[in-house]
Amino acid sequence: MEKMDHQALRQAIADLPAEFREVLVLRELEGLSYKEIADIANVPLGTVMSRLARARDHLRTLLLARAEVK
Amino acid sequence: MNCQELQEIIHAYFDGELDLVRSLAVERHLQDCALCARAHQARQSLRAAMAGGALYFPLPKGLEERVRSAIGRPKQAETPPPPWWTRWNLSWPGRLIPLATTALLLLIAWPLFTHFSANQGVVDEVLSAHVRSLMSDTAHLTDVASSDQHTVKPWFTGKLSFSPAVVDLGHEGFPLLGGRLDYIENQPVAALVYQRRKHFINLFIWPAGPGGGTRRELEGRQGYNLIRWVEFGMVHWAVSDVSPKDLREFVQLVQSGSAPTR
Repeated sequence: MEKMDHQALRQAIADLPAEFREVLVLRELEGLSYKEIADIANVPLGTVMSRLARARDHLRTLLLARAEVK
Repeated sequence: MNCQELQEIIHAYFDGELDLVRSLAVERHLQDCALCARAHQARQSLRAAMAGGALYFPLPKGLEERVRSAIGRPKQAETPPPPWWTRWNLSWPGRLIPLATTALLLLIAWPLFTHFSANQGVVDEVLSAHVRSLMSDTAHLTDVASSDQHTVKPWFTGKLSFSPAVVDLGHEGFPLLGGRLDYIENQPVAALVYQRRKHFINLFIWPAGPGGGTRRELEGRQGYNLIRWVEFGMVHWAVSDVSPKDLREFVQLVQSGSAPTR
């Protein structure tokens, strides 16, 4: 994970379900707060937090799977 | 805090959305639990990788134009919106109509406005003179204290360029207390003082200017009521804290009482 392949990371993000990708990109790339994300995605704050948790877990699983394939 | 509890809030902590107390609890747990600390470190690595900038691409040159031409929508020039009046699509004579209308309205409204402003100033002056005459320590209600109209009226002779009509309305419940000189609208005026039970009424009188004016009644001005009228070339202002009904009755009595003896 330390020296992550950018291509793999990009692909893993693209493979995420849309609702997970949405909150992850808004948080990690755009730096938005939970409140701002909740307003944009039109979901409750709790949903933002749970989606982010699942998005990160999902992303990590995808990246580990790719690393094992290689 | 155990590992299960940490899992519920670790992402909020990671994103800086957790309150201070729980943030400290999370940090204590991460110091004590190697497993949770490792997972946390993995999240930080992931974040560092995503923040590396490799996920952003600059747009290839000319892509925007190609997309716009493909969908048939040229880039909108950033020009300011046209002025509002152009929406009316008026010809030159037509464009003069709003201007002419505005000028006409100004022409009509200006004298009314200035008249109102001038009157507003008098109202304040009259009201101030009334209040000042009743101020407890420095009360200066009357220069000549008498209920006899034949004493009060001559007292003004030589002090004013006019002779105010003075009537005693003692029998009607408004005894005359006297008179004094006051100063309103840059001129000395006559102030007659009457009483209604424990209330005082100031009746200010001075010559009317050109135009005269109409009767006005103002109720509840700082707790006082005022009635203005013009009669026999004189402006009259009656001011008091008596009820509007009593003040109207007073004015009626003054009007009917002053005319025959003039």
